[in-house]
Amino acid sequence: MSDLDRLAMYEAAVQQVYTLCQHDGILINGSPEVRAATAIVRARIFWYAHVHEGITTGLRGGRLLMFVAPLYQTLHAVPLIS
Amino acid sequence: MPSRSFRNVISNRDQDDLEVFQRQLPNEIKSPNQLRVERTNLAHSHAFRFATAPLRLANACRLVHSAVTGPKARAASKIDGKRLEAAWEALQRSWEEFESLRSITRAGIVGAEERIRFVDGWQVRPCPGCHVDLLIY
Repeated sequence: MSDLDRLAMYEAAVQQVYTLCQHDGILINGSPEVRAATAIVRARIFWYAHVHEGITTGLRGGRLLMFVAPLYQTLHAVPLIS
Repeated sequence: MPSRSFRNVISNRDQDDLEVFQRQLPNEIKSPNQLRVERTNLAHSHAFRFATAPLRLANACRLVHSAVTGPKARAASKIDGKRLEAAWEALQRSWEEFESLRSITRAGIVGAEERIRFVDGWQVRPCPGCHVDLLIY
């Protein structure tokens, strides 16, 4: 696998995380607990991808795909579980 | 080597990203007090603090990207001193933030040992990378 392939796959993965984290998915009628849990899992995946991209691509150079704004919307949208 | 036009596309995109990023940064990130009010649940606020510290480090690395390693910065003939300074400051602040996480006493669900391992893990690995990276370019 060439470096270019690797880069393309990495960017595809980041794009996919970005896109998949933009909406609620199919769990519209789930109970509040289920939806909260899904939201947290989603936020965590997004968090990981965002941090990973920021550190690796940020230091090595290359194209940054993720914006900051949606991340904070995502984090603030995570419901509290008491 | 990418063609000229390809590089221009990337540069424009990069600039857009950066502007959005910089608009968001001061208001959203630098208000831990406000965040704490919103997250009254103690455990949750600690989790939030632990989760956002790496984010700030990642954002510092994004500043490094804009100052040194990014396509636009590489295309420029010289390094933008102000941006570089901002990046260094962000890295410094991030380091201090991890340092402050070390001394939280009521960390809720996070045990003392885990907390120290968390801080050590973040402080040791990425930051020497930053130094090396800045030396290279």
